[in-house]
Amino acid sequence: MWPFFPFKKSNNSPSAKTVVTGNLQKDLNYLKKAFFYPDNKDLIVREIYIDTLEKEVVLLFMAGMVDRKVIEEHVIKTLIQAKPSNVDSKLQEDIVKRMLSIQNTTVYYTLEKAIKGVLMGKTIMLVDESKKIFALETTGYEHRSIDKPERENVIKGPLEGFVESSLINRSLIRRQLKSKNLITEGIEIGTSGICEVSLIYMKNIANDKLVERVKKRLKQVNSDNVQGLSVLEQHLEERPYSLIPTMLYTERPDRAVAFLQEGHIILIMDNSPACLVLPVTFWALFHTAEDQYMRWPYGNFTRVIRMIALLVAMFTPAVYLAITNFHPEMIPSELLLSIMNTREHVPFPAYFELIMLELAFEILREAFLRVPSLLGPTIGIVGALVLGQAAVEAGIVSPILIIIVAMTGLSAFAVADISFNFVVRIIRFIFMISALIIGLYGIALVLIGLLAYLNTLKSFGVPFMSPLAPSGPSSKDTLFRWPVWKQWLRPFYLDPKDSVRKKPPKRGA
Amino acid sequence: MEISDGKIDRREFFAIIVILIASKFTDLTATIILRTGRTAAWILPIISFIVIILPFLATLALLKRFKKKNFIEIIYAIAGKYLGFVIAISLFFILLSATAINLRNYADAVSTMFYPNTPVAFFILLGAVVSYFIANRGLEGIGRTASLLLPCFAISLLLLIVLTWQHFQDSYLFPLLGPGVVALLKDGLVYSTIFADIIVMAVLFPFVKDYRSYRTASIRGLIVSAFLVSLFLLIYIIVFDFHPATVVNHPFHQLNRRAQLGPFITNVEAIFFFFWILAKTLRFAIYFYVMAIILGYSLTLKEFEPLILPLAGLTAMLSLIPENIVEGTLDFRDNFLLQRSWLYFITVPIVLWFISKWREKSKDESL
Repeated sequence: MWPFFPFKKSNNSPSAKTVVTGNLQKDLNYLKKAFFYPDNKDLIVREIYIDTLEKEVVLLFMAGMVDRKVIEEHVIKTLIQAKPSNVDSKLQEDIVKRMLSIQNTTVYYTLEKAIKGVLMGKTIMLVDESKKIFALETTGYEHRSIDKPERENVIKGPLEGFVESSLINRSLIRRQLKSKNLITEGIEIGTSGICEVSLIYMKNIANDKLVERVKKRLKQVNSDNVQGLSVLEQHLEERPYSLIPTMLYTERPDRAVAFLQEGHIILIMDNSPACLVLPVTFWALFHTAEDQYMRWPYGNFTRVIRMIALLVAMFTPAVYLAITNFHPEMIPSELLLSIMNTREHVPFPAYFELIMLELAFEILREAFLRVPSLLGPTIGIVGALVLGQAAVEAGIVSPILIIIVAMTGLSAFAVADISFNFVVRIIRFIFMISALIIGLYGIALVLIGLLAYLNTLKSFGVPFMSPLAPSGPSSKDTLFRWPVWKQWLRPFYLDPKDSVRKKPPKRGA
Repeated sequence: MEISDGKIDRREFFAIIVILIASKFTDLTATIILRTGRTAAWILPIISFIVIILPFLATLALLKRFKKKNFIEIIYAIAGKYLGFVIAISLFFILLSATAINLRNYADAVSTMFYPNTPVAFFILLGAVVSYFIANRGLEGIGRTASLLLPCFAISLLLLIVLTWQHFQDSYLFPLLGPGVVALLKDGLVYSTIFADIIVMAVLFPFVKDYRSYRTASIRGLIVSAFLVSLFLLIYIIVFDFHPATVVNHPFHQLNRRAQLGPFITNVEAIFFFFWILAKTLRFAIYFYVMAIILGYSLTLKEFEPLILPLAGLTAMLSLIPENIVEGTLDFRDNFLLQRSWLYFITVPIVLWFISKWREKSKDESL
């Protein structure tokens, strides 16, 4: 309460709840001091006098966070032009009920909440002699328009991606899943309490214990401002130092909806053009949206190609090193001769060249991310032609290695998910080192160690390799998928309340 | 919501048993059996399978009677504290020596066939380290990896058979009964220890989902393993004649060398080597885990998982003892292990079962 000492810590913590006094000037001064008005140009204070009620009302809002039109037309205009009627002036709710044409209002009893409301873009209405503060929903700020997703493009399917506004993202999901069981819970995280995460799930499908677990994790986030979902993911994840991610970060609302219908939970925040899906399995990271949109033969074909690309991206450099150094008898004689021919003039041993080229490829990849788009193609040509070709002609690297590095690098792009892409790239180096030390034996040992590690990982209680590793009833949508009408079960590993999507298909269908 | 409670289900247990027992045809057990069985070496596993059925069924009956206890606890329950301790610890020592010898044979095979310039100790160490890492992930990790990889192994074995088809010569099979029926029966009895692992697996009973899945998985696993061992011994005989097959130290790898498809795909043994390493590493992981369980329960310790690391180290050190592969195979494995421990595996379950049945009967009579 009053007096207000700005340097005393306890007054700034959210637990010190300053109750509305009812004295308009006192409350207004408190709020002004909290926002350092008039130094803070963004805080707008608008005083209005309502004739019919003979009351003074003050509006506070943050410029830039509010929709100006809504305030001017639905709040200020209606308040000023209010017609006299037999309204009991003691009932402040009548202002809202009878006068304002704003779509949504909330009542606050503490000034802390009022401050938070202003920061969220609401307009705070202080009414003289009233212990209630009305927060009017006037949020509206500039944001990017809905555009194609950057990384997860499909040929046959919707081309919308999330944007930086949580409201619009939620509307994208709601448009695809029009169900009354689709619930959005708003959870405040962090110590300053202005970060809100929307937790979305299907009430009749998602497991209650899973939802509780996620909420508990969210409340444990101990940071004053979480900037977006990317940072939130790092706060929430169970294994910060492991290569394997705990959640999926996707830019497509249709993927989010597919996961919702299986019983997963979606997290959405402002400032992130994506959503987090949890819990996640290996297949969630491997599948793309397009697999389900294509017909059965085409979808399975693309999956097989992607699996081969994944194996190529992980193993090719390591297998090349292993075979040329330790098992040269495996190579057919003509190929062996041509490899020896090209490697004759190269001064470096194979592993040195390979590591050099792989590092060069990774550097080029990082560099291309930041090249301005005008120069992009030119630099691409420079990189490919000059570096590759000239290096071969100078005799520094052998052409077969260029082929291997290029094939590996391009195959790595076939992995759709951002985190999984990094997993593949990093594991590739681990396999290369093991192949360097002891050839195929090393690759086999690292592979089985990796498999054993993956099999025992859990993401929010769900084993990572489900439904393949602990096998159980599911839609059998792992490496291959059934036609869509045969996928009638929800996967068991989320323990859904409603485990059946539709009736099982009849025989002969 | 924890759907995984540390128990493995039928599929995973089946995969563990098949990998454990069937991979015996890939190492020096095959050499030993070929040496004694000659042209009828493929009949020996069948006889051993028939011999081991009775102790195996006795074990199943015991497990069913004492619900939720593993084999070691049953031994203690029936044989008392001191005799039970002797029986349990001897099982542990048998298994320890088996694993050490196995590890040495495996490292020898890798070193001789593929990396002749690398010392054997390197492979012993690496194999033990990675197997320890897998065993450390727990039975779930082992089981899930096994059930994931079993189809890959099946496909690679099928590929091997297809690619070596052109080298099959049935005339090598005759004379069919080899050294004679009596000799076969005697050797079949003695070498029944190749399937004795199925009785050792009874220590994993509390970790399997329920009795039914344990029973189905072990029966199916035993039949499939017996079939595979027998089949591949048959293939060794008809690809190499019986005499070269006894001289060759690593028949499986030599078979891989014979795999051929036209003039282009020759010498592809490295691919089969790759899958063989995966299977063997899993096998040692299972052995380490089971040894830790046996030692833990024999000494009635509260936890057994911390024992895996010292046991892995001990096994690795013991593997260094044989000086060369001949000593390792003939002397240690054949004489010491296989021929001396068959008595244990056949008599212990049957005797235990009889004692427990007799006690039940006397309890019923006294009531």
